[in-house]
Amino acid sequence: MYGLLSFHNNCFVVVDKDYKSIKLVQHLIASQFPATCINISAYECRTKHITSENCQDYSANYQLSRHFRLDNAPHKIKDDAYIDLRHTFGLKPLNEEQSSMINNIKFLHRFLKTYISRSSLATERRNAGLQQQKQGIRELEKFLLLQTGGDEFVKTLANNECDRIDASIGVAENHQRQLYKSIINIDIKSMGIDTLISRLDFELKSIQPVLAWGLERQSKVVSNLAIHSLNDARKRING
Amino acid sequence: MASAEEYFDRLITEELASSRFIQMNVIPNSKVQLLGGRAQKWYSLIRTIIGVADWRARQGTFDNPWSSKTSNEFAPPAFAFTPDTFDDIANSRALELIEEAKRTQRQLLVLWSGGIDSTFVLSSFIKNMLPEDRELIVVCCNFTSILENTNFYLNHISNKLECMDYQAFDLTPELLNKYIVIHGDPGDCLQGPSVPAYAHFIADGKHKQPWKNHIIDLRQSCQMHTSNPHYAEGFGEWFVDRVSENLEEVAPENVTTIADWWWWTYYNFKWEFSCQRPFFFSRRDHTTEFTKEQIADFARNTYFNTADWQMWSYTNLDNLITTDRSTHKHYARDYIFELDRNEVYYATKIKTAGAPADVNARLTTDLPFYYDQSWKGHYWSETAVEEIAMKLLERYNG
Repeated sequence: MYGLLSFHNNCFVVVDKDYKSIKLVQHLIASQFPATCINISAYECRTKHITSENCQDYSANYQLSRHFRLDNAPHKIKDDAYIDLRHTFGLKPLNEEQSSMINNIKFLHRFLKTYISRSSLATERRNAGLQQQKQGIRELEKFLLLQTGGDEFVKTLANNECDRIDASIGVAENHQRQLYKSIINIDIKSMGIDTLISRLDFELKSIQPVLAWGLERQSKVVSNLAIHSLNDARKRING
Repeated sequence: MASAEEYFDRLITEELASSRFIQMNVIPNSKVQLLGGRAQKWYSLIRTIIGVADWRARQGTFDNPWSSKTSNEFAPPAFAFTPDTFDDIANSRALELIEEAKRTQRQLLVLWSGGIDSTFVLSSFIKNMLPEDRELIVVCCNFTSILENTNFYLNHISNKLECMDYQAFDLTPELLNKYIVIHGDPGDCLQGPSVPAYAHFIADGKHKQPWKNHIIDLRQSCQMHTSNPHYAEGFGEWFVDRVSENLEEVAPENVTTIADWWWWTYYNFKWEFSCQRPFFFSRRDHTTEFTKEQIADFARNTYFNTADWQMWSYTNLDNLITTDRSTHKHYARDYIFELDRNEVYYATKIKTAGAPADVNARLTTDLPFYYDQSWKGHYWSETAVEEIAMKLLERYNG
């Protein structure tokens, strides 16, 4: 289990089993809400498991494991040390602004986690298929070159098709880059959750598709996937 | 003085009536479902029946929501029987286009997918041209084309003919000044339909029986299942009855069987769409405009868009589809075989969709809703287009 620990408040903002999404949220909000990414593999002070719903109560006492990840730490903490933030530093109450920010961060995490997981799965499957295609093209190219004694057009065609495939491999990554850039520029402390959702929707729809020949459709697929992830996250908080 | 609303209403209604191409695919399904009735049936016709984006009658009546008419360049010849053979017409058409290329100092850009139609078209040029005329031909293909028909590429194209990568092909006014674009559409129209809705008639051996005896079967075979996202209640009956009424109105004497009935759906309604397919599929910028001369020139030089081909098809209706779908397009297969002697291709080639007909590309919502007289695309999001199109659909009573 990983968590984003706000050292200003000595509480967890969001916890999840997925390291990638926690780490991503940490980077995206770093300038507005510094938080530390921690691997919570130790026992907690209570018997219940820590979840995203109750994580703020679990701020008090935990053990940092051998493999804990603690970055941007304002305090020097040794491996295997028992830290009792509540006792050592006290649990600082959240003011209204911080509370709203934490809600926004939780939502952002929920949305990004869905988006990353769907996008990675789609990209992984697609890329595997595209790599096979490239391999097939190169094999056919070899065969044709052998048969034709080095037909230049075959070489051009093979290179162009492989270039097109390479370009297509980058479509999802390009979309992600643009999205993250937009999120960094959203001032999460000055808006409520509904405004954040509308803003994210607007940012997603503003991402320019890749207009290269043959890539528009894939670009559209990636964009739809992100919009669906946002809708799903919205439904979950409403439901 | 007309209000802005009246102005746009008249402008768009007139443009739709004189459009070259209208595709329902860009209209969200949910909007049409709300309209129901005939509008929904029209939508289902475009989305499901034989993979067309536009449907208009070259002869007789088949009302469409836009009142759009067929263009003169694609008017069919009078029904007449011709003694000319398939090979005769192919040879003479190839020679005619070679002469046209020389006269207008352009090259013949042959879109070769590796399939039967385009391989047949290319074969006719290879068979009929003099060695010094080889420079006139440019073969536009991609890797899939070569994969489809590797032997043909190795034996007749590689190191013999100039080639262009299909990725580099973009139908523009400038391109038409340099090349005569040659493609294999509408081979399906001429050589017999191959739609799945018709397959079971061949399997049952009913396709040679009079269509009038099988109206109920035809209706059932055209009715999509309720699980189909484009399902419309009573579609099969509506579609079959409209086509049959049109057929009885025009009354071509040789169109009598179920096979002929399906041929008619292609020949009378899909022809114009098929001939002009590259304007729709092979343009990067759909807002460029073409001159009247270029459009007429394109239609005149469309390989199959001649009276001879159409009369040949009508004359040979009985022989287009035999008792087995695997012999589909057997005239073209024979013609190709005479050149390449490739028994495997002759015996095993089956119908697949080539790159330009990629259904995914066709379904993208970024395509224009309609194309005007100069083939300039107009989008669903343009001022008043959606309102007026939906109004016309609502009023549709075809």
